[in-house]
Amino acid sequence: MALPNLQPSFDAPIPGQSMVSELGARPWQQPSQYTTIEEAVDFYIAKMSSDDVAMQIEDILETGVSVADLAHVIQLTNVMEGVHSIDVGVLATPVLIEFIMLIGDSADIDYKTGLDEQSETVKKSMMNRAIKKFKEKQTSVESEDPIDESENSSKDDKINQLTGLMARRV
Amino acid sequence: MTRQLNPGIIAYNNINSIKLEEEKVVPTSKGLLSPKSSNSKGKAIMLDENERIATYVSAIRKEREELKNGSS
Repeated sequence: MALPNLQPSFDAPIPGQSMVSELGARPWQQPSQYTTIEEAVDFYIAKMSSDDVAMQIEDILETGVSVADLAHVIQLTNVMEGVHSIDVGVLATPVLIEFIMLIGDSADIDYKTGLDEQSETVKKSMMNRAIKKFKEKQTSVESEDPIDESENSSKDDKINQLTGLMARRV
Repeated sequence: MTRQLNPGIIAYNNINSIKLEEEKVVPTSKGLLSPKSSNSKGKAIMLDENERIATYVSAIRKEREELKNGSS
């Protein structure tokens, strides 16, 4: 087992470094190259139809990376490079997913779609939240109960303590 | 390990629920006196973004299914 590197890394960017560059210096701060879905889809299909890119996609799918994750990474990379905006990227992702699956099927690869896992993780997170809320409620109810008992007992004690001549009897 | 939310999956699942209207092919005669169809060729049909994406997705899916059925 490899030991963790205890030496601090000084190659990492300084926090806030991205904020100091001039506005418009980054590709994603420039107007995007393709502004419509049709243009973006044509760009992707033309790019992914080439043999080199298809081979790379096949290799990635064989390593076990899911189709949805791969499509997400591809569109985010192009957003970063200023090819299209992030909303066009999200809209084009279903086409990318379908096209990557087509490449996978044509190469006869047993790929992971990654489409069902999302709902499972959402379900798990919802379950965890519900359990957490239930536990919180339970602990609050448990902590409230002793207070009520003590209040009731203190009331009874007060009634019992009233033993004067003018005291009302219950 | 928790997984990052992928909006593309939600978009893909939403696209699947869209039902596209199939183009009706009306057999028409090509004679000079035959009645012309109301849809002129130059008239572009405007679709919503989701429908436009759904047309792309359905076209690729059709090809994928044909490939699958052909191989099996």
